[in-house]
Amino acid sequence: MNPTISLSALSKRYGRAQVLDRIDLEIGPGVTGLLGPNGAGKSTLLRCLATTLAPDAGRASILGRDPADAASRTEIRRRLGYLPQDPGHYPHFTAFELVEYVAILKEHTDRRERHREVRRVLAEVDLADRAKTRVRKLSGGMRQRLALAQALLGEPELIILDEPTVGLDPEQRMRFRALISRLGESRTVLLSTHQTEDVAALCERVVVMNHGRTVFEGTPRGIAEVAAGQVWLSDEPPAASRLFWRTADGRYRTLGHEQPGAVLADPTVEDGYLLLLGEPAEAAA
Amino acid sequence: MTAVATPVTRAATRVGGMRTALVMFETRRLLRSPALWVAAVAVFALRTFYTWGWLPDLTTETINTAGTALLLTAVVMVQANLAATRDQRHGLPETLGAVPVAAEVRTLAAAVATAAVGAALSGLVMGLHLLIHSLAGPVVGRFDPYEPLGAVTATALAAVLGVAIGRWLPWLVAGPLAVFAFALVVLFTGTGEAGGWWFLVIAQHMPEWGDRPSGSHLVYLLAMTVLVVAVALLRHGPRPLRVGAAVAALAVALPAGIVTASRAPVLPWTLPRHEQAAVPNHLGEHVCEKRDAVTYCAYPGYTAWVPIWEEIMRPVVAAVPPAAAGRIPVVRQETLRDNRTPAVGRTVSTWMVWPSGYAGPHRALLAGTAAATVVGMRSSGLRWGQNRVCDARNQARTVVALWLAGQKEPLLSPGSHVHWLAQGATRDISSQLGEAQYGSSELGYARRLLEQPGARERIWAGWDTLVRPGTTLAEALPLLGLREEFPIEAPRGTTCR
Repeated sequence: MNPTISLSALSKRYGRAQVLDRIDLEIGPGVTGLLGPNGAGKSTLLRCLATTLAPDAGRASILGRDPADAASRTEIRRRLGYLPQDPGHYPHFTAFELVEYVAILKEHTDRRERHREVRRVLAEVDLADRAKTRVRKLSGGMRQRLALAQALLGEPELIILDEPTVGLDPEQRMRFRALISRLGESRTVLLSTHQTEDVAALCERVVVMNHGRTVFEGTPRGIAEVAAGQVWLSDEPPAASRLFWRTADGRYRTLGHEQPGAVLADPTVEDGYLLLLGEPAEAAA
Repeated sequence: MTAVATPVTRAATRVGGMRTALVMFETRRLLRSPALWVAAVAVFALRTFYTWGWLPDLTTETINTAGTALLLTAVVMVQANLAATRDQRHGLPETLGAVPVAAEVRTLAAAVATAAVGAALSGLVMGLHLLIHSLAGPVVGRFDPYEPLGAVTATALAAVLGVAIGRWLPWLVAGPLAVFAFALVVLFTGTGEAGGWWFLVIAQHMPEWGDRPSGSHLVYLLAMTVLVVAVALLRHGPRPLRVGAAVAALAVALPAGIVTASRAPVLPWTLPRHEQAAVPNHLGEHVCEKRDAVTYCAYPGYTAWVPIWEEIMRPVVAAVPPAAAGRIPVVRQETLRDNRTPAVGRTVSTWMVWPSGYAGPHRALLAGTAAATVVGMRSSGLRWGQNRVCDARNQARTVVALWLAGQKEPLLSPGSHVHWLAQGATRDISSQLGEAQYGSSELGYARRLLEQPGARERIWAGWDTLVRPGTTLAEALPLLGLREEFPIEAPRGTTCR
């Protein structure tokens, strides 16, 4: 089966900064998580995939089409749902109006059908009862869900979500996970996140980016396995390691080489992710 | 045979339907805008306030209403600007960048919706006002349909201008600044001088200014609307259709504008004083008709008011002895400019405006100045800028004039200041007899005469003596059958001769 997204040596530069550096990537149906620290190039990559930003070099095929071609780009957009990192809202619109406006711009021309579709996506994100509320009166989490609703319009084949769980409370995150996993059953969902738990819970595949490059492609299990044999639990803080933290039960979790008196622990996605990022992550931790 | 839609047909249908949906969406949003409705109501209320109590004159009212509607036009421009810059605000560009509908379609939809809503609302407000105002009484003047159409088009032009500014200068402050700039232009050119004819509409008009070249102005406005839409769309790239539309619109707008400006009426006060007199009166020659013993001269289009003047004059004329019928003046309608020149022959002036409801002062002035003329007072006419006030106290003819004037109309107390309203010009008139002043004794004796049976016969019998300027009140009282009742005041200043 052809991948939904296929990238070859995709590059993008902002001034002197190489934000994307020859990215080669293939993404197929299901939920794929995009992990990486701030400035890794995740949002730039998603913007290129959402056709809002043109890469400087390389080739891309999205939904079997070349986004460099204007007609193909329009066709991609017809089959795409995109939630940007900072989606923005018109405060004077009602929730219904905002989604309807985007629905019109997504070529939902029949009014009755469009209204039905708007109601459907609002229900998907649990905002059906807020349809007539002005956006300025919605909480941050509600606005985030509203932005997600517009991305779901028309049941797009490719859904690109840039940090979609920002501002959501734990319950909303659980609901969001359920929604995304359901969508991933039949479509391609690419989501960028800082939440490794989301990746572990949702994603079939994970791509880790750092410094504009992909440093890992595989499954959540695979990323956790990167840390296999390198996660330790000890009662005392390790003397040599810089990458450790005190856990809720009072023990110290250390990433790296074997620590005296420590016992080996099961690695998580987060452990693997932190080890993949190396020094910058250590500093961040 | 089964018809199969080709991909091109489907795409065209989809684009057409989506444009319609977008226009409808923008239209619904605009119609829910409180600012737009407040402006519409304000225009209606202001125009109703200005015209309340006056009979409709369509020559001026269509243009003046269009001028007031500029308030709505300004709000439409701001709303259009906000609709056009919406794409750039609140962090939405990223979301909208990933939708299949191109930005130029949104520009066009905003332009079409705001132009349509603005024009419709402007037309509705103006139409409603003119209709209601027309019901106030006899309609005079000439209704030029191009004038309100021009105002409606001007609103559409302002709307697309708001969109174009929003596309080329996508800052929130650009729209209000543009409105402010245009408000200044209207302020300084609102009556048509200094290039004002090029602008959207003329804010104010007077009947004697002459017909505006409204047809070519409408063409100019329509062409400008197309031009501005094309300019707004050119922001999204110089496509042949857009460039072609812009060039074609400019090719129409430029000559139409030149024709409009060259045929614009010359406004006298924009010329040096010595040239002002040479400016022709665009109202044309008076239309005169004789009813009973009175000749009424009205400007073409204003003859519907003659019955009103006749109704006032009839009791005065009926009280004039047949021998003095030759002294009955012509009632002549005058513009403000006419009134600045000396009166022609034995005439009394009436004006280019007339009250629709209570017209007491206007009626009293017409009856009073006519009566003063009949009794031979030289300064009977109300002439603007000609200081010919004289004092008619202690003159028998003053009592006779007031008696004539009071046959049906109320008598005004001496010194009661009446605002003489003519074409927006206001002047205090302290005497019902025009510029001839009288006192409370003349008024008192006139009232006694009006109450007294047989007064008419006595006045007719002593007419020649009574209207002689030298006959004093003391000499007249026996002739009038009145006893000395009120203290007689001596004349102050120049005595009326």
